[in-house]
Amino acid sequence: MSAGAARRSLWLLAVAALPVPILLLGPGHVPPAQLAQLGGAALAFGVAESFRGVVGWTVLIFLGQALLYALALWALAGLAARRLGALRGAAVALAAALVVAACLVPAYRTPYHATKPHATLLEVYR
Amino acid sequence: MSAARLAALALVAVLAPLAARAVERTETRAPCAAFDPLRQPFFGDTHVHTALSFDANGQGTRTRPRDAYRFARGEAIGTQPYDEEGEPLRTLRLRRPLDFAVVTDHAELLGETHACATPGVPGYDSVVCRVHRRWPWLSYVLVNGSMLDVREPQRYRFCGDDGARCREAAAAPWQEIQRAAEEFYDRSAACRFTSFVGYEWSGNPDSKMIHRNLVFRNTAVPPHPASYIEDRTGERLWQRLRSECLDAGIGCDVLVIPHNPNLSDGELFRTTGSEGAPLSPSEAELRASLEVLLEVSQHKGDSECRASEADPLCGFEKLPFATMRQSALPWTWSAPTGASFAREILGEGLREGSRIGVNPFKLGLIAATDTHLAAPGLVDEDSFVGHAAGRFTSRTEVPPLPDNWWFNPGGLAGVWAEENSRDALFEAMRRKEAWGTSGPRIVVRFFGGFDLPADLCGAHDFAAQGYAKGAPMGGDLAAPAAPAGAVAPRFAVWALRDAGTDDFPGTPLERIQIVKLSLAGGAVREEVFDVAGGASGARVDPATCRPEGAGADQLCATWRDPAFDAGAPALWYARVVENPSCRWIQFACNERRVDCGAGAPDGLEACCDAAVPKTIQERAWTSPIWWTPPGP
Repeated sequence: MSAGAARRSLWLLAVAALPVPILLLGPGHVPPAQLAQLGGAALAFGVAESFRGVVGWTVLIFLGQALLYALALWALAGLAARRLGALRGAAVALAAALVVAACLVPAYRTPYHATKPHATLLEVYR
Repeated sequence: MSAARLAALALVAVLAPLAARAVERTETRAPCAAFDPLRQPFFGDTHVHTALSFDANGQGTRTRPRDAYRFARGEAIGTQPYDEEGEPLRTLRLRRPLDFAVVTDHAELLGETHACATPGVPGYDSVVCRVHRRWPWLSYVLVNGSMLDVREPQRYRFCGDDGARCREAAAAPWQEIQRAAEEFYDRSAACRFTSFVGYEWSGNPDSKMIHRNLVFRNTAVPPHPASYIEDRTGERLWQRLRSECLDAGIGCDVLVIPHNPNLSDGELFRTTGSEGAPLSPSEAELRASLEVLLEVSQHKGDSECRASEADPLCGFEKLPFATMRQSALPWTWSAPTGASFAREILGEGLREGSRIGVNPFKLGLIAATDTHLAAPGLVDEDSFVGHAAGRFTSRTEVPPLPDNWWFNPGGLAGVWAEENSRDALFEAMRRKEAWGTSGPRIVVRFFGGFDLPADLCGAHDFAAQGYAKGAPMGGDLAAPAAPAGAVAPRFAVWALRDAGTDDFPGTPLERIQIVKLSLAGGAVREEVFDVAGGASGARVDPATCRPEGAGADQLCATWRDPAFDAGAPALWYARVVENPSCRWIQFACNERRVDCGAGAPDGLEACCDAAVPKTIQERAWTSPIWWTPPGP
């Protein structure tokens, strides 16, 4: 596996599944993609209604956090891909296995889920 | 039979028919078997939210007005969190039923909440409702922050032109509120329970809380609740109440209870109208005629007086922030400005009364819970489960501590009425013969007059003489027969501790104080007098929450104001204070066996924070008695 492909794969898996702290409007640990999802929901809310009051700020807070984590993970994924050398394929496979495990284990903690404080990866996005 | 007893009987015989006639019937019901012309104490809750309120709904409350009234009457209800089968994981039940309650769901978003929860209702598929159902907490942040915390709220687009669709959708929950109040009102002669129709008008301009609860006297109510979205100022609300209720010719009557001035940052009781001009006498009159009671204490803190060294008891249940927006941003916390506490507000009332001849803030005092769990009267410190009213949710799990440390279980309203009926309770509230407690069922009577005898405490006809020779709490001192400058009023106050239940006895009383506010030279002077009981050295052991030391089952005193100035407007109210007891957080920390020496577990840090109050002195506040100097 090339370094570029490994980097993209690791990054995608991390963005989709790595539990990271919600820095603002938390607390909780969710994947960066969920922060983007929440920002998107707030954005849709604003587009459908208005950005008055805290709506615009809420969009910025969630999308900003998502972007911050995405950039940090992109850098980390690049570093990992370079250092792993021949182990890149195995590392990506391991990461994918962890993502599968995260679908079964409630490893995420979110105040935004309607019914569960601890959720599996599938439940986070469901 | 002694002459005194004969005189007392004669007095009662004279008063009884007067009092009986004093309750004006506006509804059809059986007369109450327990009717007392000298009035009885009743306890209730005038501030209750259910799943019909948008915030409660988002926080996972599923119980509705019927459940709230069932609960108030002593039945058990389930509450959040719920499991996947929809079964509640917690059960709540009052140790003692209430005598009355008012469900006061937020008028704002009543229709939107219904639309978002009811397939087929227009708006159900809107973005707002989709977000609300899928991410209730996000929806809570967005909706509160965009709709209610702003100065010029607008209905959502999905509500259609002029918001008509959502106002129409509000009809169903408004009917549900009325039906529930009717179903649980005991119209039999037993008079076990009274339920009122009500709602909360919840303005929050710039997150400054100017909320008001409305209580309707009977079943004659306006077709729609007035909302902050349409009527954005208190003035607009009162005008609407006048046109759609008082002057509508439908037999409608209403009173308004402002609350949480501690979170208003001075906005709730300004001495200017919405246009910035000073209050006019007619505006002041309208306000005073509708706003007769102030909720002095509730789940979101105490509003009696600003914490100060001059009166150490004012440190009770103080919030560390000035607005709910600040609560989420600890680095912005500050003390509220303006008239944000009852004493400041009542003092402003004296000042305005002197300026324009009408006191716009002539308010009696009551307390309530502001529960968002449909659990009226759930005030016990030892079993507090949170009230979900302050951006703290137990929607999906039972948190380590039931609430943020700065909140509390809330209080109760006490009312002296002839019987437990809507008319009698409503009239009692209107004449301000009401008091508030921070939770315990402390009973307190307070009379003032120039002719009250000094030995009233020993009299078996305390109340009869109090009414005959003075004014009860909420009233005005009548001008004395002698020139006012030559005499001073005497006050008589009697308090009975909350006996509690066999398993959970109440706490003895420590003291009674009389708080005096008077106006001199344009400045309001505050004085606090200990009139009965006093510091006894009683304490509570935090480790066991067991009280230690002596206290009183009841206290009584007569007290003559030593510095009465007949030319100065003044008011007096009584504060009854219990011995120290554990605050809810101490009970919770003990139950969770927190060992601060080993470090506080996650979520229980407040247990080991020395700045967090762990003990309290529960209390009751009577409505004031006013003195207005005779005109020239």
